[in-house]
Amino acid sequence: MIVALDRHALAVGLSKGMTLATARALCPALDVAESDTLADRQLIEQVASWMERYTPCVGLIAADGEPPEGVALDITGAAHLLGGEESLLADCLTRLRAQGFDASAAIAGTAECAAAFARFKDEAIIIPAGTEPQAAASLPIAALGLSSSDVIALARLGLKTIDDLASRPRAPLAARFGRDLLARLDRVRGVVETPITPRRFIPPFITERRFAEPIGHEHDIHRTILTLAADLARMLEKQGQGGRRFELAFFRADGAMRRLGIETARPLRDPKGVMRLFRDRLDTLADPLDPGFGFDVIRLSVPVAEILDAHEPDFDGRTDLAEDLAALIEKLGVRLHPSRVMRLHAEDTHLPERAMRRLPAQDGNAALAAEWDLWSDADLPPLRPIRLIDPPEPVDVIAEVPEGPPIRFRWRRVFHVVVKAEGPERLAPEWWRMTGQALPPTRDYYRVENEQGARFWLFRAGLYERETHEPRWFIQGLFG
Amino acid sequence: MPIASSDLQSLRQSISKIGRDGSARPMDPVSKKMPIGHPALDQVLGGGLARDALHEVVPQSPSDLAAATGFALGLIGRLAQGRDWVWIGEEMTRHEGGQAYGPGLKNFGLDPARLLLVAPRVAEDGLKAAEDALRCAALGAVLLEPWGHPKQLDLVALRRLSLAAEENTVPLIILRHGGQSLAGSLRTRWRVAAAPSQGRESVGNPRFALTLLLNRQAGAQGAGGSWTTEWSHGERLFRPTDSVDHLSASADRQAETPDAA
Repeated sequence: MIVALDRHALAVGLSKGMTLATARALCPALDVAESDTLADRQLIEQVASWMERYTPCVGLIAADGEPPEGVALDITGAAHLLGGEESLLADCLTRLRAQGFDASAAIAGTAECAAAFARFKDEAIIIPAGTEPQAAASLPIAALGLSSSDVIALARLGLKTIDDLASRPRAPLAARFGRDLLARLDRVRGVVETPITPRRFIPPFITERRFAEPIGHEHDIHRTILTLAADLARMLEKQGQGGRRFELAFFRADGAMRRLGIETARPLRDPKGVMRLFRDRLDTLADPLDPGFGFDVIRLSVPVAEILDAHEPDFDGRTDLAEDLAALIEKLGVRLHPSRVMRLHAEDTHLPERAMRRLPAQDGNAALAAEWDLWSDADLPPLRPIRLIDPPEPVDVIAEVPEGPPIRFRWRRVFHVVVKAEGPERLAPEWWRMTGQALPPTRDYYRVENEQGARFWLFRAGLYERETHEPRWFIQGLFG
Repeated sequence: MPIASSDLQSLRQSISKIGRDGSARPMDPVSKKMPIGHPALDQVLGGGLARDALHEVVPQSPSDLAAATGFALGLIGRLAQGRDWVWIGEEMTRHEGGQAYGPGLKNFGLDPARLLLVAPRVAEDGLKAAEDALRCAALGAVLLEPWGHPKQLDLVALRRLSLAAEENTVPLIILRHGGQSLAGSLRTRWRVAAAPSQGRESVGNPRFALTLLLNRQAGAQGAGGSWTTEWSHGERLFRPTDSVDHLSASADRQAETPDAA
């Protein structure tokens, strides 16, 4: 079945929903490609990302339940940056066509109205504000994006254009086709406005630079980032805010765009600090920034901000030790990835592998010494290993009696003769955490020492005779 | 607190300035050392382990990795003195030797809340992270655990690390998993094996058989030697084992004599 076609195919009289056989009969020279909805989706997302060069508020246009077929931009307050609506529209179409797209576009008071014109009128059109109802009059009914059965039913009534429909009394129409029809009609006629749903959250702080002559030199890029960061710092300072996340977007003239984000451990607005983090990020990219023929728009935004008291930063760049540490966490997070810089947190469970969680240090949940009080006992030798083997590894164990301590064991092909063993410390499964799963076996833990003095943490899974006849042994940790 | 830290800061800065042009240091070098607790060892080290330098800890055999880790952690416990510290463990080390375990660290006398754990994917990242960490004067110590013998850990890299350690007086302990000894700016090198703990039946406090292979400490008394030491996590120091054995033996004797009262 045909799901999409170009203007040449339309010209020969083919239409959506036709079977391939019928289409071939009408036009034997037809070029056919398998539809790939995923690739279509990726392509339109890519176009939409690139369109952010005009405004950060970019949404996708889709009929009910259909894949998106267009992009809507809220250009309120953005058009003057490109010398007015006309040149914005022309610029957008020229660039899209240069990338090989057969694009059409329109500017109107509402997204639905503009979308209808872009789809059903070929020329790039700008509907002057307030004239949408008159302009929309000549559009076909299909512009409402109704189901095909409704379109046919309306056609039978002799209703072919928006005007035919708009001049009818509303109540009978609503009774026959539902309120939705009227709502669509109002939106296409620009009478009722629904805001564009942006694809991405629109950051509260945005600043950008546009270049008539695209830039590509590392030096120019760095300088631009620094001036953008300085702009942002002023905006943030006015609001008493600092950024926790910064995002750079690089737009290339040929349709490519690249985003780079950094996260900070504390609210930040010092331009040099922002610059330093981005520089680290740029230096360590696995897939370096490729300027191609140059970037013509660079935008810096702060998607996440927090209150930052207006205290003057020290000029030597150092305030106190805690700041130093936060800066280190931030720097390592940027270089390695925030998830690779961690703090340990205690969990209230006696299951050894769950008694600790490793959380990104940057998340601001400072580790507390008190969390670990459970584990402090100065009088006893350590009961828990310093290195946890996770997941536990199976070991071959010889024990005198099935429920007794190990005498010898083999781990990673090395035999260990157990000289001393302490245990068992019995850890029963936490049945209250298990819902609807089989209860894992009870574990008997032993701290053992071999002939050389190396100390290990072993456990036997399963109580002999009560839970199993062949208990299995595992090693879960190493003691200092 | 802000006054004290800024004083410290300016002190550190003036020290590092003096260090760079090679003139005499205003501070007694001993104050940059931390006694580890074992009297004979501290004497050989010239008063304690240097806090502004690199130290390498090598397990005697693969089975001694945990013992080497224990000794390195003990040194960290001494050197960091309650400040934050960083453990940079290359990802492979976690798979091979297990991961840093909070409850166990606490049992060992270290505060897990003070640990910043860094898990770089490759040796090169670990090295950079170590240098960044050493430049952070807020830290008490840095533990670098590379996997195998990374070629990046060469003369130049060690020199850079040792300069950073010296400037900020943050010690770096390099915990090895084996491989050849490192060549370069190390202040000390230790070979560590597990030693049987005290007591015939029960598993006692951790004990280590140490060999000091390299001793470039200022005021060092001797080139090296071998000792057995016990880590006391309650006092957070290394003790000579004979004194422990002696003490407990006398305690046993006391227990044997019936209570006069």
